[in-house]
Amino acid sequence: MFIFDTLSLVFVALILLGSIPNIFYSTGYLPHIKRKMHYQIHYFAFIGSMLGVVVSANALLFLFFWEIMSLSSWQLILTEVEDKSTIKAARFYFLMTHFGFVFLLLFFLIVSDGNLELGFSAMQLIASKFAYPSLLFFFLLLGFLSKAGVVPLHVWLPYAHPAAPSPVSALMSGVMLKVAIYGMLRFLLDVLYPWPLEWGIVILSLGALSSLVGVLYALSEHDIKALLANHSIENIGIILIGFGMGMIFDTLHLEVLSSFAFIAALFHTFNHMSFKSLLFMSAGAVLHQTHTKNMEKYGGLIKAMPVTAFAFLIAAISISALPPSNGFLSEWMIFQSLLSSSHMENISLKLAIPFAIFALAMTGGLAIACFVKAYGITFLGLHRSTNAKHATEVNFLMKSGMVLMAGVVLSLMLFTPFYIEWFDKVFVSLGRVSVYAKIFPDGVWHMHSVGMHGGMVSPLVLLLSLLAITALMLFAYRLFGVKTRVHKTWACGYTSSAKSQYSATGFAGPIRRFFNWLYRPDEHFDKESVAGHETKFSSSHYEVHVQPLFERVFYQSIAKLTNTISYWVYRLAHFEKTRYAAMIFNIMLLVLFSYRLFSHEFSWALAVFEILVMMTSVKILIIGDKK
Amino acid sequence: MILYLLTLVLLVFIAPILLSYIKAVKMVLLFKRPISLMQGYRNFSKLLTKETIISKESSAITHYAPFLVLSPLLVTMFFLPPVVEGAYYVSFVDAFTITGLISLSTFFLMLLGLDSASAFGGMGSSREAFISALVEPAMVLTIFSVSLMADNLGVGQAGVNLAQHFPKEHMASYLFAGISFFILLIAENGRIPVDNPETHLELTMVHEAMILDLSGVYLAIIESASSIKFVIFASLFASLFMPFGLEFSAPIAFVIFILKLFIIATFVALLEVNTAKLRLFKIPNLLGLSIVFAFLSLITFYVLGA
Amino acid sequence: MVDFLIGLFLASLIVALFTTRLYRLLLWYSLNSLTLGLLALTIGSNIDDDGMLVTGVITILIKAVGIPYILKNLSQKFHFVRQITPEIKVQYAIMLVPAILVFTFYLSEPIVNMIHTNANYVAISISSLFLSLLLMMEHSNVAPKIIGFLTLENSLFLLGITATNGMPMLVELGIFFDLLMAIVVINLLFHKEEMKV
Repeated sequence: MFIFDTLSLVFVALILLGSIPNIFYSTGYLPHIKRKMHYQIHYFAFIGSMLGVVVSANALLFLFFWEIMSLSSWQLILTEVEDKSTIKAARFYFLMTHFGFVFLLLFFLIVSDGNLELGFSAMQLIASKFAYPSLLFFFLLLGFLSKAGVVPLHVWLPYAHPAAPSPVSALMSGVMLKVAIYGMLRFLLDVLYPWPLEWGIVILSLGALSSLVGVLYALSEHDIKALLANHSIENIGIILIGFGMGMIFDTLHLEVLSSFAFIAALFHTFNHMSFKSLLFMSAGAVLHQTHTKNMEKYGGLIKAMPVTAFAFLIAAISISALPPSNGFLSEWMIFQSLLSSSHMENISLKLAIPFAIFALAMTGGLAIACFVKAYGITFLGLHRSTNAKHATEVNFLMKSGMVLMAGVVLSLMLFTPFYIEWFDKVFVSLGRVSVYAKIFPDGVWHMHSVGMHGGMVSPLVLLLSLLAITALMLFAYRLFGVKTRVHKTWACGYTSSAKSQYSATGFAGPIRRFFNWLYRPDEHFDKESVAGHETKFSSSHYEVHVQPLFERVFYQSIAKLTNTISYWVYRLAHFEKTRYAAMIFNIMLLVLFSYRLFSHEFSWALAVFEILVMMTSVKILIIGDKK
Repeated sequence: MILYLLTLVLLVFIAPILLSYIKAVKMVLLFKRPISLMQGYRNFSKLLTKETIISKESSAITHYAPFLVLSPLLVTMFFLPPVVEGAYYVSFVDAFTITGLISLSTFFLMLLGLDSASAFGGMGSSREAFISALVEPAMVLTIFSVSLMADNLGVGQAGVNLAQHFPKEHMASYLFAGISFFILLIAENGRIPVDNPETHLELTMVHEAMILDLSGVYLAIIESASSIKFVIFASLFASLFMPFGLEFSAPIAFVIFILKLFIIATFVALLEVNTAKLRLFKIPNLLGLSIVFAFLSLITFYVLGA
Repeated sequence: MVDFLIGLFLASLIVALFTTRLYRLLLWYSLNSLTLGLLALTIGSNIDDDGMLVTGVITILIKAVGIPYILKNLSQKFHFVRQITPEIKVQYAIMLVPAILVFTFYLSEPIVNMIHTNANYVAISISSLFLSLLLMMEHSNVAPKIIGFLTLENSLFLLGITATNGMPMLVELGIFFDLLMAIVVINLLFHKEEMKV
């Protein structure tokens, strides 16, 4: 019924670490919510169902909890319905999550031979006998990755996650996405093993693509929660890069490197849980006090909300992968496993990996830009609206939630060896090679890369030396008693006001312009010029909106296509009865022909003949004469 | 160990001189009377005696960020490759950590720019964010390629390995990596084709715009941070791409090392005199070149072994 | 040494791809030819081929000095557009150039297996062939197209000296004359254009 192996326990720990601070935060957030009962029931059902998913041991239970998880989170999005966009987001989420569910169900029906109460271990036998394992792989991909928000199935995520109340956004982005990663780990490692090389490459390229797309759309956002949601896409992409490298190494029989890459992916999963929850919590605190999600209305909040600002800073440093934070460590591990591609024999693959390195490095650079923007515009400078001016620190419970979560982030940084040892056990229990002794060969101070010679990082040494040097300088500054005066500074000769500082749109301006070919933004620029002058104007207004390319190209065209087809079918069924019958006739013909062709005997001449017959019949019976 | 400490002291002391030297070379080439090499120290000591004025819009970030800009760079200095053969060097830090530390310093510098609520600070941060986002991939790929040639990812060890086995058989990819790294050196330190450190014109400022509202000791700290950043990059270039002269006895090796630093500075100065500053949206052309060279270096290494 | 020169050859070609000024482009072309000439000299002295040495010297004289000089004069006489922005955006070029390199190295693998001496250089010269075609493609002005043509010739020359250890002297001289003829023809064409106007 239930399974408690190390993999499950690790994910139970992940969910608990992510949700216990969240419960504090949520309790503090509760006065803000009108339908308290509805919220509480679904909130705890959500946490419980996530726990259920990771410990369930057969397909039926897994799907049951999975569905509860989807439904309760769907209801949670609908807790605070303020406008139509929330309902639309919820509907989109509902649709996408069930789109994934269908594929999961198909997967389970095939690998369990119809007996959904079969345990996972028994499934491997059935799966290995199945003739088209790649089909199963793609079912898994569609099922789990639509939940995890991987490009091109990510479009719902920036709508759904921000629409929920902040504690729920933190849970969804921080924890629920990881449950999908759990599913990938469980079923790829346990059920669908061994893999062909192509699967790893598919996952690697999906990861590289999502990391870039996620961070680029995050940069162009000025809704703070949508920005964070887009960053989740990026981080899931980074996790998948590690995951894909692990699979590729495994198929190439580089077992040590494979375990290393998998551990890196799992470590990043934990790290993303910690800092993304923290970011959503502090963004939620800001939202709670200012009543707006628009970053252009924030500013100067660090003075009013120091705890929130500090929590956001820690998380921002960590998510930007700056040393010595935990985000840096896991990204370092993923980089190391990418660099270890120099050990491969396959030259084409070796040449392709640098493109993934490029994508990951570019992502890192853009993430720094994005979080400087998020932090700087939100917390620094002057307030840009009256709401931001009168903001105060949030209540004690919310603060303690954030502090606890910051503790989780710091613990992941300080106790890296402990966590890695634990992750190592997960993969040992799944039949991989243990690499802990290779990562930490001499004590916990230095972390080694198993692939590249000399790849080494010493998080604690770095942390201590940074702290020591900064403290020394601060001490010296105090000691010499430098005269300090708070006064007006130059500020281009103007009195600094909220309007003279940079806006979020302006901050992302250069990058947006550079990637203009991808964003294709809608720009609105109104200017009231004075007496026909080009440069003198009384008021001006500039707005940019970026609609994701994928949504435009992919989803809307699919929607259009479906519309056309359904219209055609509708017309056929209702107005043209003769053709309707002719369709049935032709389909029967097609089935019989193809049976004869593929199962009975195959010859080219016959195939051509049958195709000709089919074409004639279609022409005469369905298309008919032109009127 | 003593040599290691000596190197550190040398690097710290030579840092302001190098920047003054670049300026002096430029002035000579433009037929001006050059400034003295000690100008950096003069500025520094003058700023130290001044009172620090903090903008009244700024927050706690301004009080801590200058120190956090300088300290990652100071930490990085401990990890640089040795100058003399047999000297102690830190072996437990790889090139990724160093790029990370430099990004950390840039991160706080950008926050500093946004903190004082002035238009210029935000402009500088925004531009810096744009440039450093494009620098990152080139940096990582270059590191990767150099580490393949040096057979080690650790910076110190790579310097030693390259000095012992000069990669004659990989000349082509070594050259490409060198070009790429030189462009990065210019871009990261805000030298002329990318940023003009001398003017205060809003069209051209990147680095200066971020620190416009600082004064006194804070400004001195940021200025010394930028000179230390230059010396870090210059000595990395010297150790990784001019790996010779380490085998001599300590004093001679030190002289050779200092000479190498000055040669790099001269190159930078010559480039500055001969080129005009690029428009912000032309900078990707330059950085793109660096990315392409980094790729090229890897590809030639893999495919041709050259 | 040969590696180093070939590296410089490819490097100057790639820099040329990203240039936006005509005179800079001429400079890179001249550097490109200079490294080619030095390459011919080095290989020639390695395999004791006097013909190769002569062609090296001629290459340096004509291609590194003569042709850029003539082209510069031409451009001043006929007021060429000196601001030449590539049509292919840098965003694409960053990915395109490495992709071309990877692809050509991949394509030339069978050829490389066929040739024994200096096998690796064949791959580089083929990729530089593609790059100079790219140079011709990405500009709409005449002048950079001419330079693209000339670099195309350079890379063919590189292929010749590296793959076959030097073509017969006569062939190479013939190619030089062709090249000069091409320049003369271009010159004449421009004169004619101007007469029309």
